[in-house]
Amino acid sequence: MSIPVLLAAFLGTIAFSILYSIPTRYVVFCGLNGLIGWIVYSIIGLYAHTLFAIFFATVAIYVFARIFAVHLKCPEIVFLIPGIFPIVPGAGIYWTAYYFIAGNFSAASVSGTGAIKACLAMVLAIALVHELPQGLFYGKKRATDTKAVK
Amino acid sequence: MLKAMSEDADVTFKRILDLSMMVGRIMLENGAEIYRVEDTMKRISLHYGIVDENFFVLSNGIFTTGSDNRGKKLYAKVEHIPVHGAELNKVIELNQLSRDICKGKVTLEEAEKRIEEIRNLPHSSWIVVTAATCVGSACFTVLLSGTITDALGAGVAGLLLGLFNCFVFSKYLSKVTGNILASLLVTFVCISFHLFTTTVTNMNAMVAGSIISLIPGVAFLNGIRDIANGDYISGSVRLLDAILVFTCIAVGVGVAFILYNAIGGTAL
Repeated sequence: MSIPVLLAAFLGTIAFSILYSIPTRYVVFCGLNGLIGWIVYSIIGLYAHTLFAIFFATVAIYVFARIFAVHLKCPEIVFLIPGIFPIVPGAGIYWTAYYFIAGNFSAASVSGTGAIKACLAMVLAIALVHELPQGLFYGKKRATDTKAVK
Repeated sequence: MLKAMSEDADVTFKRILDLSMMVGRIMLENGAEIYRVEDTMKRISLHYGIVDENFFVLSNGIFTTGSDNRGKKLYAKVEHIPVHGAELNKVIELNQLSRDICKGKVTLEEAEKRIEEIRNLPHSSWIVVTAATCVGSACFTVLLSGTITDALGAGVAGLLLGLFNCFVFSKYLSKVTGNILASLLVTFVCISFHLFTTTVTNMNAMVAGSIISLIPGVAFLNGIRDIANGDYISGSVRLLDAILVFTCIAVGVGVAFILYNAIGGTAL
């Protein structure tokens, strides 16, 4: 986990948030979210299975997306979507196709199921954080607009 | 006099529900979850005083019925909403508008005007899209342990991919064909970069990094969130959409390798 890699996580997420035409004032927070996700992913990845890393990274990304959403008053999806990109199993899709064409079916099925498992870990994490009550994310800013749209 | 007043009320009644429909439409088109669309529509119509209304939102359609306070006038509308790109700035602006409406800051006329403005927000220009795809591809290649040379190659692939998305994909191609061709293009560019550069390159990181911008993030995440909210139909439709795109990307990459082998390329 060197500086260029962290910079790449930050800038890459920002680039993707621009692709989704997110206004400039939120873009840095999207980048920050991608960076946080990547840091969690690589640290946990050192000590545990990749699936745990993906699970906890997704939890971190979603939690921070909700915190940003509450404090910047905009939908959480704005921070969630770009933030999740660094840990999406894009490489898994690539390897599955690659091995499949190369005729190495056992390797293809390993990377294919790996990608599916990674997606399921993300599903689980999202479903979990989704259930947390909204009030949890206000922190000290116990505002009057708790009832306003998230 | 009385008649004029009631006519006026009828017009307002229709205008309010039309307004909610329009808000729902733009939000749904641009990747908001079902729950948020329903909630926003409900808040807006409630604020302007419509009590008896029902919104049923699916991933590609909105059904609305309502009746005015006296129960005399009925409103019913079904709108089909094709799946669209995701311009999240519109969702953000509409969210802000709905907050302002709920706080009572916005009259009906102003709301209509602002919705028209939001609807006509300009698309990102092709230069911005291309640059973002280029930078994104390069960065993700670095994340997947590619070197700086690989990032350069992925940047070129991303550049071409951005141009392809802007000028061919979004104008002429369906989702299936477009995604297959896009990932085919990216893989070809990366293979040629791998063959024609002397420095040792990590082609796998290059391809994997460049195809990430094709991944259907909105459909995938919203599908999960819709299912978590209990909107099973819309959630499964969106997940199906995401799986379709994932498969298309894999097919495109695979076809590129098959073609490369068919023209007698050396092993990679």
